[in-house]
Amino acid sequence: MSLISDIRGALQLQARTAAGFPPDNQIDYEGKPFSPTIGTPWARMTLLNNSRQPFSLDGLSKITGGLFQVDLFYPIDKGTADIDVVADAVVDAFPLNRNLFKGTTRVSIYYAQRAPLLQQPDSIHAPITVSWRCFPN
Amino acid sequence: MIKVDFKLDDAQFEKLNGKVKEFAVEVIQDINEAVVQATPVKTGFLRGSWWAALNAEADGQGSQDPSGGTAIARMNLTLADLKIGDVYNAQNGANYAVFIEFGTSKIRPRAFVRGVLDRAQEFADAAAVRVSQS
Repeated sequence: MSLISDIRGALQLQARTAAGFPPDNQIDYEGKPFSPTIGTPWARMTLLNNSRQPFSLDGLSKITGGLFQVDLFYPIDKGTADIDVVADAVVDAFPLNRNLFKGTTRVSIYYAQRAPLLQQPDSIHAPITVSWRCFPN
Repeated sequence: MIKVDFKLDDAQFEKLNGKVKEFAVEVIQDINEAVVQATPVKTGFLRGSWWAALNAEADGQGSQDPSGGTAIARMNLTLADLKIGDVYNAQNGANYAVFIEFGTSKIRPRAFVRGVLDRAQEFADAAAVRVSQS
């Protein structure tokens, strides 16, 4: 497994602990084909790694960081209460400074926050942004 | 709206030796350039739709600017009038920008703004060193 795969796995696993999170067959994972079931809530998770820089003077240690976006998509005709509850639960699943582990990889959470709901022609979209850092050995 | 958040510790602030405005201009210029360069390009319209204003909403007509050079220059020019206490607003006028940033049910997010702002502290630390040495 690569470092990025471990980071992605740790973050995905944590998101799925949120109460009310859609079941595994309604999650759009990167690199896998997915077609949502019409009328059913579904989720998508995307890792956006965006920086890697030296962390020590010898240049051997590096810090890797970026964003992890969890998207919730709910049917358009059912209001916003349900999606709000689950979106809040996803934010709560990523508390400040929480360390997540996958194998020997430790991922630290800097923050998690919601953006406003976005109305789309076929769904209501709740994006949740998680900022993470990883200090690999 | 997304706000930029960074901090300087007391030692960093002391080393600025009063050059707070210079520091602010350096940070904003660096972030301007990084955001514009991170803006995805297909026709260049999205990259050419960045505008900035002080203490007001930024708006303007976008144009194709695949390199982003015109947009960066336009945004940085706004900083000529910057005073301590001003609010600097940067805005992308393309009506589809939000869908590229956050994604839709059909396309994944690109996070070209949040990805840069997530590194705001790095930009601030680097700018503080440059200004304190100038």
